[in-house]
Amino acid sequence: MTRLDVADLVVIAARTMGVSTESVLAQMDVDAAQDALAEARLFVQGPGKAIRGRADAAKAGLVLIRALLWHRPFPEHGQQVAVAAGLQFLSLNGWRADLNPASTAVVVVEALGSGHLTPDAAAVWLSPRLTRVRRLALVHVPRPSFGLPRPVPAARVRARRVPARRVPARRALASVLLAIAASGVTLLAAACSRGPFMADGSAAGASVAGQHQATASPRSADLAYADCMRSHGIPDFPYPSASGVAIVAPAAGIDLSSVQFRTAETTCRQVTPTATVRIVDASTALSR
Amino acid sequence: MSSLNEAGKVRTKNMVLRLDPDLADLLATVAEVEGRSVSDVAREAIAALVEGRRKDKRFRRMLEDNLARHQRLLDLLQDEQT
Repeated sequence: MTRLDVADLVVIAARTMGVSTESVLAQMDVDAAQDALAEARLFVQGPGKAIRGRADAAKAGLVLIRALLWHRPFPEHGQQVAVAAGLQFLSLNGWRADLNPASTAVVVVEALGSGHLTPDAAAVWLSPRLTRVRRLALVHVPRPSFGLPRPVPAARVRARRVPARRVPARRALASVLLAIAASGVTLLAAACSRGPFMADGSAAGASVAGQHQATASPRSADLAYADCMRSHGIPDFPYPSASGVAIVAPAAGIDLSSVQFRTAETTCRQVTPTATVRIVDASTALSR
Repeated sequence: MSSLNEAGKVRTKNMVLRLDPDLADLLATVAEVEGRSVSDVAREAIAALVEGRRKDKRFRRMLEDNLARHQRLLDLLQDEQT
């Protein structure tokens, strides 16, 4: 398995963000990048482990993307760089990914970043979108044109010989438990819904905007909307992400087509008219 | 933390690097032998490493292909973050 390192991330980020590598280095959180890459390496049980198949490749790529989303080595353009790095990682290991439709891929990325979707679950969506291509043995061998002082390549070689971190038993167990939990979830079809307003527009929920003020900012409005939903019979309604996506996990047991849900939604849309929450049903989110 | 030059542009940036102890020792040795600071050697090594990736044609070709095929997705992600 070919893994990415910090230098790879710098080049990927520079191209993705359309800036120089020097600029990326100036704004990148190296510590966070190292943490993300180390976390991604935990997926690999030992040095040189090969990706065994499509599902394995999908999960490995998604683990990397999630690690980059969580550790945020790039404060800006973090999602773009994470996805670009995941795609590049897959390519380096002989897999071509086609993340289409793009609108669904956005939901997957959001869900991965917010923790609503595990890499195992997202791999169900990604696996069919991977195509095996001829593996290019990409080893970053120092070239004479580098102009690197002699001792430094030696340091690099030594660094690359450091064995990958072993997965602690507890982490391995946690991974298995996560996998088992995810295996019961069929992730199909994205359904971003925003219910229509009811004509009678009762202001019954006006007093239940909760802790969040509906008018302060779009973010506050979104949070107030979630509070409203929670106080209108949907106690497990998720708080939306920073970009306004509320992902309803299957385990939450929320029926988006129920009368109770639709009534609450109608009320809360009126209570928080500036909210722009997009509700995504994770149980049907990934089949498109 | 970054320092600025006269033009107000970022000149250097403080970074924390976690290094394998052996590697750290090697870095210190190289710096001492060459009469340079550890930071200077590390900076040059990082720059050379990045430059090496930047010139790697296969790496770049794959990257360009991936970015081109997923331009719409990347645009949407950009919108999501703004």
